[in-house]
Amino acid sequence: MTLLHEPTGRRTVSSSDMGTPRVPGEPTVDVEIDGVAVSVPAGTSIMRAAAEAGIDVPKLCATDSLKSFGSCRVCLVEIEGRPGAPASCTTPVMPGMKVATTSPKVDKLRQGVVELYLSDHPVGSCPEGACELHDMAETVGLTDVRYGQEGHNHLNIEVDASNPYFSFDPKACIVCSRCVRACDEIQGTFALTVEGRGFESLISASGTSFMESECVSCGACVQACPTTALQEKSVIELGLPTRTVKTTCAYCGVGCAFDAEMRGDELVRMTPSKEGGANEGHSCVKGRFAWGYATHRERVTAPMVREKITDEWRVVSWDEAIAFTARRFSELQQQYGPDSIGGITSSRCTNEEVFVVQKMVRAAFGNNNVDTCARVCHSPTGYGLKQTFGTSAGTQDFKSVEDADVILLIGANPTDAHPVFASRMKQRLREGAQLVVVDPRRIDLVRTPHIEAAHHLPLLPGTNVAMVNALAHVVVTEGLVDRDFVAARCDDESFAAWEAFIARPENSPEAMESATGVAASEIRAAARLYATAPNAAIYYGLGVTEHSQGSTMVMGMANLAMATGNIGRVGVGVNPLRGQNNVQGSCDMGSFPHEFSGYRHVSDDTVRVIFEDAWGCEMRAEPGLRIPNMFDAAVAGTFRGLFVQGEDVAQSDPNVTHVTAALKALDLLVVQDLFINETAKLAHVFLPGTSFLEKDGTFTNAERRTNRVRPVMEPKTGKDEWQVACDIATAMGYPMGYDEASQIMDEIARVTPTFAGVSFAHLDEAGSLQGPCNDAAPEGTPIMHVDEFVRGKGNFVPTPYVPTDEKANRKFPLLLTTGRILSQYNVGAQTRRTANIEWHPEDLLEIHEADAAERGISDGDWVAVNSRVGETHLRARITDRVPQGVVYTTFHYPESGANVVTTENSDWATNCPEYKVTAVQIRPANAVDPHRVGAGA
Amino acid sequence: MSAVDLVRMVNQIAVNQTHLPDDEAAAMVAQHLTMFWAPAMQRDLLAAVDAGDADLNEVALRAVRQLEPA
Repeated sequence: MTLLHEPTGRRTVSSSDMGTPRVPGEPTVDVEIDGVAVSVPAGTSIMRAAAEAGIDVPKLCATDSLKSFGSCRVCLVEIEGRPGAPASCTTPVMPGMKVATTSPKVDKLRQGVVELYLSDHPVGSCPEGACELHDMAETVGLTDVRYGQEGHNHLNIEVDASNPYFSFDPKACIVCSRCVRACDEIQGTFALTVEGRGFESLISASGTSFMESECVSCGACVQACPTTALQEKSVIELGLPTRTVKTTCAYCGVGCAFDAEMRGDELVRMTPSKEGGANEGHSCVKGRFAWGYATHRERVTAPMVREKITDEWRVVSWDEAIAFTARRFSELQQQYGPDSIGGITSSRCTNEEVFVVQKMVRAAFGNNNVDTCARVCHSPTGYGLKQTFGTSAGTQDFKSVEDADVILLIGANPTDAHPVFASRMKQRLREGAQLVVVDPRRIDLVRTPHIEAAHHLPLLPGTNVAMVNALAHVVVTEGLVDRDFVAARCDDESFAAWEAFIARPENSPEAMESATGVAASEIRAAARLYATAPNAAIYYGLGVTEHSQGSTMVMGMANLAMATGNIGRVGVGVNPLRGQNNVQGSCDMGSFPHEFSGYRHVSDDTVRVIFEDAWGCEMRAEPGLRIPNMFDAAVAGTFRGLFVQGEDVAQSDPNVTHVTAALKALDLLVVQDLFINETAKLAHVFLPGTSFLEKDGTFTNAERRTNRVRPVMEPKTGKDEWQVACDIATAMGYPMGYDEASQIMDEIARVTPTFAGVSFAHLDEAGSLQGPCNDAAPEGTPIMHVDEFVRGKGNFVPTPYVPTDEKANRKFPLLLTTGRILSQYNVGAQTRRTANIEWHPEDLLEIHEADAAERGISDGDWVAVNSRVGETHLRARITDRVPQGVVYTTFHYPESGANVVTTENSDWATNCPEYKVTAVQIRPANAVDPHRVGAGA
Repeated sequence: MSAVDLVRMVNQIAVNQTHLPDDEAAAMVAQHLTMFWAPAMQRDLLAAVDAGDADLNEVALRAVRQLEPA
């Protein structure tokens, strides 16, 4: 057999592969490789040392994202004074070692090994340029294979094409185990294995198809595969990519960096970037695969208007749409006053797009009626962390979790909602860190392969503050306070007041037991574990914030972290896991009605002057309306026009009956989005938005990391999204314009101290920058509050537990709580328009067996969910994940209408809705669709 | 805006200040309303109080009395 083609390298644009992972430490070991001297940290492999010296050792089973394995025997080397030819990937360097990576002996050995591989992996089994084995054949100088395919081989095994995004072709598999190790080491799912022995060895999804297995479709195996055994279907269909654009995922708050790999103007695949600070080469099923929505047939790319929402849409030019919108907004202000209109920014949009919308509101509308979808997720984080630490920001970078000894995970489900960070967390837990899960539901992390939480505290929904107070009570009363830290870093007076408050008997675990439903002994044990760890870190999600005491709980966690000295260094901290890709950024950009960019209150004269000088118009000194206030005012008739950027409030916000009534009461509703969503169905103007593949700008993730978002294609709407807000403002009489998105960031930097050092040029050079980034921290701030808090001394705030008004009772005896699932994302506008629906075609209601039996409900039955504000129908899933008395659902489908039943209750400080606690009753029902049944149902 | 909603919200803010003496709690609530409530909301709340339509708790009532008409 002759190799018929000239191998050109597999992934056309992959980063250089050093073969084995970097070993931390100083380069103290001096070695000589092929005559080149190199110094590396102790424990470094010969292969890695060679790569550091600029010498590539041939390899197949080795890659620098995985621990060395030593199975392929291609990377053999000779070491002076040692017998044989050891594998360079598994042999660590020793001082003075002299290594030859090439010699007649190893060259011949390598050729023999590669030839044997090729005997079962003929030319043509992989497309040209797509196979590392074929590349290695050329590298080792192999031109002919002496063995035919007549003997025993693997060439007749069927392809597994069950996964919608990739296929597994065993014919092309060389059983190097890179896929198995990627699933184990990087993703931590352990879905793959090698079945059989010797020549019978085969990669297996644990004996079933990929789709039916535990595989979470993160794609790490596909990326690790050196051949095309595991291959993206898009590559099979479209061919190998020819160019790359570096950009950032537009799903969750992890903010993974990707190489968008293109063939011409067509996106072929998304490959997570090793250089990405947030993800370091990993991704999830959404980021890697679920981007097809951008070209979905339902996407609307032309502006549309209509006089009344009962009229048919009329497709119009951009000029007409802008003129219509501006005229109607101006007319409303003339008729009803300057405060009768406002806008909502989107955490799915770039910083630049968000900034111009809030500027349009403040400068062109002339009021502060601007809010953002963070209102309904992490606004309590903003309030709580500002009160205690001095700024609204998570304290750590994601990498910090690698140094945590105890992880306190509260109201978050990272394996579903922040999967790439979850993989990082799981790696640390497998290394031995201890985990405490505070969640009513038994999330996967409570018990998952090779991980078991030390404590799961399944508290009743709505009792977070009771729990954090009980934890802190143990710290204070059992002498676990870090007195040195508190004395040096925190405000004495506030600490004394808090200490006296939290030590009260009513805050003890025993006293709180009846509220939380969790045994006091478990709470005490968890508190001791957290307080006595060398490094203890808190991670939390919407299960903290979306409560009537969301802000109190955030302050409670901050108190706990300060009292135990777990702030200001690597491995500790208080870390919000932000829901959307740019929640941090949209908040940074001044989207809240009470503050400008950089979290500076509108009443601050010195701050207003900055904006008045920059924008040439007067700024209002009073806060504007929050989103729920806008809806209330719309129903009351005082708020008449609303601009909604990339948010589906008619599906995502609580009590949609009320929201819908508010939207219908508006004289002008303008929606800027990709699709006609539930909100757009009630709009007068639809302005088509751009997908992340068309955007030029930045996203800021949950670790305050600002990443570039680069367009891989022209806007399908013919207009950049930021340009639309500029055009509306200009048409309303306030000239606003930029030549390109970088100029918007330049303006952000001029008016926002925490962004003073950020520019597109700096980001392009650095890759990403973590805020604050300014003269004091020109390359950014990975860890916050290192020497002092942003506010100076840390501020303790007493956190009295106030039970929610939303209580289970005889009529509504169960508590409904909500969350996300891995394959879907928020209201599903994107993921429902991808093959991800194969994993989650509908929302289900999880219910405990005893609650189901009491109501005559079997698994899969349709049930009616009633609350005091509405009713919706779902199918039931009977499970012991939820305790008796608690039911749970996701909210990805408008048909399931989770927010038909959620109520107007909200956080006392921020009005963040209390999504996580709704008293409901469940009864068997038909599959008929009674959605949007309002109060009184 | 609906007086019922405004009253519910301000009462809720007040009951979350129970760790403070009443006068400090009232000042805290008043400051919160000034910092985070739009003038129209403050105005409507004051109007509801003046009209006797506001079933406020003690701390909330004291806080509202500290508001300056917007």
